[in-house]
Amino acid sequence: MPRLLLITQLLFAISMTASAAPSGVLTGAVESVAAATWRIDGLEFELFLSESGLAASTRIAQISLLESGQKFDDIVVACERIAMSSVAISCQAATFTATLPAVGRQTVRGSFVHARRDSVTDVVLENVAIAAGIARIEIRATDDELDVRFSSPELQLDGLLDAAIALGAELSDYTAAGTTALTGRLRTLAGGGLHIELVTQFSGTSISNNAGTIAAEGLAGKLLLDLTEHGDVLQFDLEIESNSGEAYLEPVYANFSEHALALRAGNVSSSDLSTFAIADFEMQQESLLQLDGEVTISLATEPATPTQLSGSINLTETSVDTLYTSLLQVAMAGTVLGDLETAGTVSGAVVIANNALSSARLALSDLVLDDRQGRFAVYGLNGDIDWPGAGSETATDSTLRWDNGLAYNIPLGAASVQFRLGNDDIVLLAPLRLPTMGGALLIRQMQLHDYGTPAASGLLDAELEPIQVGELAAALGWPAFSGTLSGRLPLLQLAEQTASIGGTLSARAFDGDIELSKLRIEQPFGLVPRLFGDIKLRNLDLRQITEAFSFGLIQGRLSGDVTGLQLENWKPVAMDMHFYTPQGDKSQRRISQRAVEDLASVGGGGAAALLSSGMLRFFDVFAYERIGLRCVLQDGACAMSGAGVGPQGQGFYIVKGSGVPRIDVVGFRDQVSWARLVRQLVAITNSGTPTLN
Amino acid sequence: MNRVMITTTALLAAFVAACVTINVYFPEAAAVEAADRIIDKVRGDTDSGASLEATPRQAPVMLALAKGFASLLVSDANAQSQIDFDKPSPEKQALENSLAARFPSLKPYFDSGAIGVNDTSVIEFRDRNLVPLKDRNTVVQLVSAQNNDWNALYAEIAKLNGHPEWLDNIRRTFAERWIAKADKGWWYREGGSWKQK
Repeated sequence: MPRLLLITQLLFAISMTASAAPSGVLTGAVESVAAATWRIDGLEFELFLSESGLAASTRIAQISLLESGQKFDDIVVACERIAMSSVAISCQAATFTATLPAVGRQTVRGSFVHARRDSVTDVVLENVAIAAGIARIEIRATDDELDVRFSSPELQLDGLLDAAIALGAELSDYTAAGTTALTGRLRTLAGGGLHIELVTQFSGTSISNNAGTIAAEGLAGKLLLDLTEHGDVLQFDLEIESNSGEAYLEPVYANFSEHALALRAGNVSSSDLSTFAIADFEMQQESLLQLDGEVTISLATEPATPTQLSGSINLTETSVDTLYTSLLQVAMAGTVLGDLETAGTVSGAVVIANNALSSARLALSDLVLDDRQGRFAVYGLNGDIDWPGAGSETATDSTLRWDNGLAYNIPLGAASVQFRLGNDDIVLLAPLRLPTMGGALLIRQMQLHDYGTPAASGLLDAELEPIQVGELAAALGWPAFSGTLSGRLPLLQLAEQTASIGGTLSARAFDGDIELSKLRIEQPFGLVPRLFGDIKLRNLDLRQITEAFSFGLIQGRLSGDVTGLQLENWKPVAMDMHFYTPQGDKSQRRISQRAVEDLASVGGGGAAALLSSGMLRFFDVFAYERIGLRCVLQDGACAMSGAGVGPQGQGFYIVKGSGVPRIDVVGFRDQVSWARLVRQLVAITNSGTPTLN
Repeated sequence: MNRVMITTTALLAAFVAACVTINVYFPEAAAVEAADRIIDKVRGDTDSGASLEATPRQAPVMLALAKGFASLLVSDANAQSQIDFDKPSPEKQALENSLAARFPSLKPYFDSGAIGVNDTSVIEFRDRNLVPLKDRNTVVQLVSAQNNDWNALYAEIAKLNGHPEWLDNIRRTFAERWIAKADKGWWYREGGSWKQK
């Protein structure tokens, strides 16, 4: 744009000079002519009579534009026939020759008229070669105003950019390609400054900065600009529409071929062309995105300083997937929310300060949030969230409801929750009943305060209403068995960035009782979830257990104690696990041949070989006095023991037989790799159905 | 008598100085081995031959001598004997797995020169323009996630060994090893300027 101004000022200067010539045949020279913003040096003119009438030629050694420091050398204006009257001087067939930055030296045809009374000069330049295209330029100059209109059916953007750079625009960091039709008008303002109106129709347009943080490819559409330059400040309204191509403004990517863009930025001001205060913007991307509001945006000039956005934005029916993939995901990389599949829409208002959300009031509609790592999922999420941020405003109640969800493959049913949010606080306003596995998790009370700070504190009163263990087993890929699980979870511990929950759960399964006490789960959705607790098993029916786990059939009762259980990533790393026949057990205690083999292989003994070779192989079932197996797991290894010291003080009984024929399973290996033990157990439980006797 | 005192004092001073020196010594060779192993794992490169080619910055004999010397001087279990850069932890394991899982998605951009590792051993963009526009914010997200994991891993290794102050040494070692193991044509940034291997 400045280039057009230059041309105009230059021509204005020339026409003024010409008009100053007296009506006669003469030659002359002016050493210099200066105005507030320009200066002409070395002006020579000549008026003479030609065949067609009075002709004129003016040659200027240099025109300097004082504000921008631009200089133009060797300018020639020639007119074959000047018409002069008392009211006007005009030339219908003039040629203008000048050297323009990034365009080169060219001669164009045109005309000029100078009205003497009101001192108005009109200049028309035809077929000016600019940016690999042709432009028509009309200039009207009065004593205190310059008005330039220009139009071109097709210009090359790279040429336009080169010209702009050559004229001093700070755009050397950018490259551009594509074509545009351009019409516009540029006026100087009475009080100083400039007004520019532009209408462009562009296609195949690509723009990129060198760092690649701002880029667009294949854009086609329309741009309207209405700009006022006053001092160092630019004030403008901008409208852009594009229905093809794609754009990237780190970290936001948008595809306009799939979803056309309509952007209107009203009342924008900028003093450096890198930070823009937009008082009123509207952005719409067909069916995906509708935003409006007031923002300040600082474009990324270097990769190290990302695009900074601050302001208030209203969202209307905006795609959560678009917001997530094009904006939020980068910020959430590496957190539990960093790898989601999303769907649904959101409406509401957010306040952003330096790219960080500082308050939000949102209505969610049919959201899906599905962790690709399978830790959790929520489907059909609806409701309103009011998060006041660090501001003093008190939030109104937030409500969420969802159709269903998953936590580690455990299905969760429809529920609704009412809560109030503070900056780092959340308080449950009404009990939340979360149906799951034929029962429910009932959270009566929950509060988190100062979450994420060292002063974090919390409160939880939750209860597990009896759930079906069979459904839990199915969810976790365990063999099917039935029973119920219930309990209370009163523990909520908060430390910086981590949350632990815990309590006591009781289960009724395998006709016995199981109690999980001192249960504590640290960072349930963190990098490495950790579970601690003790498990007590009392009088479980071994027949049901062995059937459920496809282990060799055993009849009798089983109790157990697992103390100091520690799971990391849901895998045991430490515990003292002891299973044994309860004292005073009156039930019938029998063990199948296969179970003997299975236990022998777990204990690392050689009972299997013994069974298959001796006469014992004719018996399917043996009576036993007691069973015992203990593993103290530490550093990946089990210190094994069983139901007492083995015969002759050697090894340890895993099965101490009774009656005739009597069989004992004795373990001799007192250290077993846990990984190997698990492999063996998996092999056993996968090896087919047990033989029933 | 005085002379004896002075000698003793001097010896004591030397002894104390020696102890202090040893306790802050960063076990470069051990770090190099651990870095090689982790980098191989992340790159899905299980060929141990590559790590054998790498010349440790300190000769093993020297290391053994240093260790022996240290144990002579410091009777109790000193800091050195507890150093194990391969000390397992579930966090470390999880981070290594996560880095390895993400690496194949990033590799094409190492290959094209769009990204490279810098001398603090995190990934930087060298030229975003080498990434197609539609993939650019995905790669930004991947790089950001990968750097979060790398940073957490360096901190975890330093923490596991009880020397959080070694973080910078660990970063430098990983950067050196990454560069040493980089494929031909990959870019890295050293001392502020980009270089191609």
